[in-house]
Amino acid sequence: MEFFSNANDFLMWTKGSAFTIAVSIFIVGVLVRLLEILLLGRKTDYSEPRGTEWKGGLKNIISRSVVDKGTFKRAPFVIVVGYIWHIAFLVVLLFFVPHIELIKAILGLQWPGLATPLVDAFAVVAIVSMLAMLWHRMTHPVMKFLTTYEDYLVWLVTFLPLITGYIAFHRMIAPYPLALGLHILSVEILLIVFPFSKLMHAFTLFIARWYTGAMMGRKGIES
Amino acid sequence: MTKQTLYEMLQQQGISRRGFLKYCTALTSLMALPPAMIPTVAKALESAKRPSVIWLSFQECTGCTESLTRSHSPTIEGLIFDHISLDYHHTLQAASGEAAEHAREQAMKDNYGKYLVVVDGSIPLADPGYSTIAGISNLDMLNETVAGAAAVIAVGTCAAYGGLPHADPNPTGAVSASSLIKDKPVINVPGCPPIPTVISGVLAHYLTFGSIPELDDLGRPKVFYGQSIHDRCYRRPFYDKGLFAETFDDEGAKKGWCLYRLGCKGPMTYNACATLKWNQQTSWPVESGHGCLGCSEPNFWDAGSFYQALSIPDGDYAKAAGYAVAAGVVLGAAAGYANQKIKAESAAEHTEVSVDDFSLNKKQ
Amino acid sequence: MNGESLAGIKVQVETPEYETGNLLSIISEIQYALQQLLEHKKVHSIDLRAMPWSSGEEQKLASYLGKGEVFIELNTLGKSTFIETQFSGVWLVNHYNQEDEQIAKLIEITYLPEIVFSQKEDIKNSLERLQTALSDDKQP
Repeated sequence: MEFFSNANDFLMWTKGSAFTIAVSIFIVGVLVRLLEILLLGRKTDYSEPRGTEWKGGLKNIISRSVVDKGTFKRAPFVIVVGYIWHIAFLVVLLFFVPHIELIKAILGLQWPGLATPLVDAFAVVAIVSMLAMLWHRMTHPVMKFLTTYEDYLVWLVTFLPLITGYIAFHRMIAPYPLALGLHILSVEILLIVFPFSKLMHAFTLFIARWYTGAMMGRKGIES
Repeated sequence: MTKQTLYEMLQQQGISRRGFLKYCTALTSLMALPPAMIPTVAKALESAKRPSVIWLSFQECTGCTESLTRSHSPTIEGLIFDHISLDYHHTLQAASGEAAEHAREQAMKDNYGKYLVVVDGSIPLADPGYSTIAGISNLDMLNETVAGAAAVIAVGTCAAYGGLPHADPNPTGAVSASSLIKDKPVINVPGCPPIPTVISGVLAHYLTFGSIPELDDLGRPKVFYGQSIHDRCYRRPFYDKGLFAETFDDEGAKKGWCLYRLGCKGPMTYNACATLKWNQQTSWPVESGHGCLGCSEPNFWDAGSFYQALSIPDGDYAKAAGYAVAAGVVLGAAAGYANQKIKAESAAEHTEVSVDDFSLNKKQ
Repeated sequence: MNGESLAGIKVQVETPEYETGNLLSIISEIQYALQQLLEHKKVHSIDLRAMPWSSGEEQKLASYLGKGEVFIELNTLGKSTFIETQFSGVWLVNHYNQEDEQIAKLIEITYLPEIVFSQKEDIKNSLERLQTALSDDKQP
């Protein structure tokens, strides 16, 4: 380590200025990306509404989470593993006690955590499902054709926090400040890449569903 | 300086072979070596000579010396102090002024190349006037004394890593001993203060084997600092089960659950408190219900609040986030405006096209 | 504090619920060492201070091992006690200094802890003393 005289210095940097920088870039990036979309607005619809926009919008946000039969038949792997991955990842992110402490300190929100071995099991599931998705992406001809470098980058920056977190929790790298610092740094890289990549889907997903749902709601489509 | 071996000294004091074996047993335990090493320790001690020790106190609070001397004589630690020749320690020695300095010079002269230097406290580099002894700056005394030393033991976090004087904004420009000593082996024995048995254990190792123990990346003896507090903590099962105390007097605290959420730095701290304990093995911080402060680690004063969980970042992220929101809104609005402008422009440039425009007969 | 005596303050001792799990591992280590002692005459010792204990756990180990037929007390550089536990060949050894503070605590798996035997050097010394005494005028 050239820039740091020891692992503790490195950990302090990741918890200090690096975190501040990453969070700032994340906030600016996400706001710009969202406002860019939202301020574009939509064309005024002069037709007589046959239903309400908000009802359709909200309904769509939820109903689109239910798997469509046709899609499932065409791509069962992506859907099953995709669901497993998202659930496992969210459990690890939101119910590991050190993470809850972090959220509490930053947002002031708090909820009970899960037993650490349980979170650990979910982390393993998340890691394995990510590896499976990578394998699928690299072997399935259509997926391979559609994949760009950005997809691999997004995969990597998402995978790193998981694997470094697993390593830090199991104390597989010594000294621990190095392991924890690497984990925090990987999250910071994720935060920085997030607004400028497909990872933005975590936000835009709901906007897209809302728009579609609102349009259908206005037209009085019951779906 | 006596040229007697330690064993001969014990014999002269009328201590039997049994007593010597008992001493070796306690010493082996003190050095955190397995009991199978007792015969090896005994053999080494039979020929071990009393080393001369020069103890230099710089920017320190004397807490480390207090820690050591609180292990009442004649404990095994006391016995060790009988069996090293502590030739200079300006807090403990009777002599003062020139006589004291003379003792140091004499010890250096008599044992040149063979004596041990114990450094206690950090060294100010901003202005030597912050800390002097007999008009000699700490830096000069360190350089002069270490020149003829066999090895240096940096006792306490101040000597090992700068400690409290080194904490931000570090007005005295305090630095550790190891950052100044480049040509001698330096053993760091950090802690605020270090566990007394660890200080004497390291001395005992040198006394017994005449060598320095195996050190980790931060120059600490692995036998004492090889494992983290967290790994050796008897409350670890609660961490694993996800049972945490959330305040210092809730049900969890009373039941002795894990103190992670109360800011325990045990996971990142390497020290022997969990096994050696304090005050004649009575207890240790976590056992008495308070999280580990991480006192044996570099920068422990600057590594965030003692009462904030290890996973919580420090720094000005809240303020930065405020600015980021403002910047994001401004930039986002600008981007939105630009997009609308593009949209309007393309709308303006839009021309109506009729079927006739695509007629093949149309003249160019 | 209106002059209340210390005895007047009620102290409630709570048995901690937590355990490090070291008890079980030590007992299985002892079992293995006993087997080694019988089959290969290999002695073994365990430094009880080298591992973490929750309060009360060490006492639990001591009461599990119990007291057997032999109790030996040495007096050299302070007291030392050797308790043969109810498991023959398993000795609980405590070393104290002159101020009665514990300086070492071990479990030894052996026929008799080495330090209990009279030591060759000490016997030599005794012999010399007796020889000197007998050759002296001041015979007893």
